Amino acid sequence: MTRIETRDYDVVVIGGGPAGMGAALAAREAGASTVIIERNAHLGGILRQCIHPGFGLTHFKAELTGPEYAQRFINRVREADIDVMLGSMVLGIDEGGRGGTAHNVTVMGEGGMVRLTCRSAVLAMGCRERTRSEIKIPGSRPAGVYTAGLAQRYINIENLRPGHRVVILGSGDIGLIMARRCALEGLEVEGVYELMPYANGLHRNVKNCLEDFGIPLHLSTTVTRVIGRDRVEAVEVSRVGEDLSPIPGTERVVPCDTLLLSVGLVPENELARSAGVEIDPRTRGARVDQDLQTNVAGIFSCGNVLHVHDLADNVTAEATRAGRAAAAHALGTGERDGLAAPIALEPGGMAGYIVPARIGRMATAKAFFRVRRPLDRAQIVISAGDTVLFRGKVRDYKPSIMETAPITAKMLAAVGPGEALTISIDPVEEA
Amino acid sequence: MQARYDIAIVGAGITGCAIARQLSRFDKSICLIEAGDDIALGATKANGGLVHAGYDPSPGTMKARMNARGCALYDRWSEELGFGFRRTGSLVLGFCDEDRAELERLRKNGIANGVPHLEIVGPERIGELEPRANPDATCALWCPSTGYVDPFEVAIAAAENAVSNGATFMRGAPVTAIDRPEGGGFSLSTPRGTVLCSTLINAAGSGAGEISRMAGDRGLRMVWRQGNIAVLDKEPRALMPLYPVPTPMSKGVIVTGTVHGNTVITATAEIRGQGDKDTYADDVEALLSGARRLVPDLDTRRVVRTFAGGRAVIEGTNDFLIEASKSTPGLFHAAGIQSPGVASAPAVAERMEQLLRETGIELVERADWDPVRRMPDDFDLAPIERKEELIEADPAWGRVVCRCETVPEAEIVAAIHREPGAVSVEGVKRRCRAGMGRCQSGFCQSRVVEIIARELGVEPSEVPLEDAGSWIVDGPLKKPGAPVGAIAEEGR
Amino acid sequence: MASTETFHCTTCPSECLLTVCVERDGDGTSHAASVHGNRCPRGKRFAEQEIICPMRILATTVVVEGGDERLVPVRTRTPIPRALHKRAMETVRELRVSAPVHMGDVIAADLLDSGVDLIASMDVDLA
Repeated sequence: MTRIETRDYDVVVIGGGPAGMGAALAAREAGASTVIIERNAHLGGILRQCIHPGFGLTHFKAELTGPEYAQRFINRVREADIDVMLGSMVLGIDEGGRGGTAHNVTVMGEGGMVRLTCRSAVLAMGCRERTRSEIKIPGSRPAGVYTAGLAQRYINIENLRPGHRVVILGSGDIGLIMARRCALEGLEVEGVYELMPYANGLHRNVKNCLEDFGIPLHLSTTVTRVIGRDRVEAVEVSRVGEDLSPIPGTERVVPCDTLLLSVGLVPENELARSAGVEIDPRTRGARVDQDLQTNVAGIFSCGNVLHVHDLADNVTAEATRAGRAAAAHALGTGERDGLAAPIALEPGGMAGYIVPARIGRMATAKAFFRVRRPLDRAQIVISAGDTVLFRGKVRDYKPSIMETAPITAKMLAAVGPGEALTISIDPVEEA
Repeated sequence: MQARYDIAIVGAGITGCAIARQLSRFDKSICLIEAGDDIALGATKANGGLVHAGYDPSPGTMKARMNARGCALYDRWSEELGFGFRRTGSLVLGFCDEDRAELERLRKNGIANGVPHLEIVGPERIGELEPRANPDATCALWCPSTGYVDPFEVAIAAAENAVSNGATFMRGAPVTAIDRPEGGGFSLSTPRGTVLCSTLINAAGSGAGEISRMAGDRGLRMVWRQGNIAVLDKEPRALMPLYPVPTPMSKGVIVTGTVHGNTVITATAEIRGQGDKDTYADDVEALLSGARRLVPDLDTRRVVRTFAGGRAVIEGTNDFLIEASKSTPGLFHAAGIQSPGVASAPAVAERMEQLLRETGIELVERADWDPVRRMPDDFDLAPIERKEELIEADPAWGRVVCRCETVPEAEIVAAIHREPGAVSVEGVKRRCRAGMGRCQSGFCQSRVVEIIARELGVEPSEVPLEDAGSWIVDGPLKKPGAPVGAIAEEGR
Repeated sequence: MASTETFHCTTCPSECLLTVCVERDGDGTSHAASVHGNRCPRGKRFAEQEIICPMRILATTVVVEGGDERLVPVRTRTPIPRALHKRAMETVRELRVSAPVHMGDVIAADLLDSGVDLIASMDVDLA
């Protein structure tokens, strides 16, 4: 019978991107024996191919590129006493290690199959891009339709040219960044098309990636057909109405050989699901408490696998909290002032989601959310039942930016039994 | 280039591959000729994979005979050829009295066609058989013999078994002309050379009409009945096939599990221009709404892929044409194999053997014939001890490439070197599922391209997605660096 | 001659919308006469620079010989005139470095006489 090697850790971190490295460093610093499991041959995750600047303004107070941001963490992980398993993928997490007190994490790699037992596991697998099929673009299925991230990999990592004349669908940050990257590398970018009536990415990227290069941004317009048998020959674009459906008669055929899609990111939670972790249908990430712990004791979640972030700096901050909490859980040093029944947080008004989903401790916390559409004048309203506990100042909100709401012990104390704390973003009429 | 065979089979879809496999048992040299660059590129890959039981074709038709018999043969074919097959049974859901009358008609039809154990059941039994079936269904036709397969896996397995028993597979070889030399037989011109044969089997799918005409028989007119299909992400438990009450035109939108735990919604049916493989917004919407009617809790946001394909329908008939040509000696047709072509394939192959014998062709079983094709290792499905063994034998089994379907590098390399092997990214996907999952190769495509290029000794720019012309990347952006050790040499 | 331009500040994630009154000087150049909408002094400096000569960091890749990656990501240490980017790309395209490379290594000193070095963004080890 083939024997499977077993190793013990306090904390197993799944994923070696910014979230995984941040969590591992925090866990190790708190005294936990820690291992990072990374699928690729290097640490750094997707930041390795995000070669543009704009990272680290908050965390490092410097404008870094993605690789620089990653490298600084890689260097710290190397100096810390953290085990790193590269080229390794987790196939499953289950209960039952060490007589039921620990999780078993099954890992495959070039060295064979390994079973890790741990008291705490941190999920930090990141997200994937939405595909053509998920947004159901009609037409043929030729080569030349790529997610923006795949094209980014071809250009920035593989030194390969994914095409010559490019149409980009989606004005999210990756789409905008790739427009500039293609233009710099000599690919012709015909234009960026956006279903919504506004750009989805950060202003800095609209300015630096499109305006600097004279690349047109077509709002309220989408790709309605892919044309070409073997390779993309053209795409058909159409204007959309207020209900976002294409307006017949507005079709226009745009010759191109490449269609890049930047149409959203989805947390990769298949592993979490199979481990019994409860998923929030709004974020498609785990439902966690204020310490980033899921419904499965000892399993934590942070970074883009929890909810999609726009800034790596925010990922690092969240991952640090998760790593610290995972270590505390593993070492039994956690806070003991938990509430008998956790208080649920619910999004209201224009808030698309709220992380965390619940709070289990009477202490100050931060709630993270995004609005569903741009709002010129709106405010945060926090309430329990019919009682309004907090009103924020009136300002503008954008879906591209992750926002925070303050949760105080006083608010939590005001929540009655069976009630939830609602964090709502309410539009405010001009006075 | 010119090669002579006893039998040439034109078309490497599931029908042609099944026939090749059936005939490779005998002392005949066989060439399986395919216009495309791989097996199963026509209706076979654009297919829901259902092994229909055979209760809906009209009794007495060729379709009715082939369907029920083919369905019955699948257990043995699956066992010998090592492809995934589940005989789950199916339900045709009825929602009113009219539906019940139609189900009763289907049941009688099925009995006439020889379909076993058909039964009309009520809501309680429906709930037991498939708890996710629409609870509003008042009645259903329970058909225990229905099953499902990956249709391209069946075709590939059959072709591999045929080749290992001596058959030749010729890809990228559209037949451009057929001559009938004096002294009998056929001479087939293709860009890959001329194939001479005494027996010609026409299994060319939508090209069957043209092959028939070139071979001196009547030119069958083919109709392109096009269907859109959607694949949804994996479920904890695969769904039993659920059918609506059929219309005269089609079986309607069916929801089914797959051998890998995905959900497939299949298919719309529209007459469209020959070769149209586009998906249409209205079709996809019809699929999703049709599916929700059968399985109300189905999360239709979890679409992994939509695609389309044509069914090879002969104009003027809804039946299969499986016969010896009445005008051209030595020519045999397996044409018009539309739905249920997958279910029927083993029976069509069996029937073809019989037709050959009936025309006096002597078929003697080879002493070395091996009906068994060893199923390639599927890392994802292997037990942990087998995984460990595989990695111990070759570390490339431990290097994961496709994360969604857990496909390691060694499995991809094996897919490329199987006979016939994969020469394209889609070919790799059909053989080992790399790129089949929810990210649709967003993470692994560049690695797969690299592995194919390395294994076949070509440049990445020469690796196609599918057929020639479907290039993925166009060479390096910057003159690439030399590998270690080559720097000094370059400096000289 | 004066005109008004509005654009977003890209200095930090706040992305203030700046309104800039631009005056054209006799010699054909322009300068910002006033800046509104900035929430910090950096916004004002950004607007003034943007009118005179927009400056951007250039980030791209350089071919690596003998490394465990084919390319090393590179950047200009500080922003360089946007107008130089096209020419800089042509120059950088021809560069080659040998592994190992470390973050911060100077790949090309004083790129196009801009006074700014092109530096590596990441380590690339020997293959």
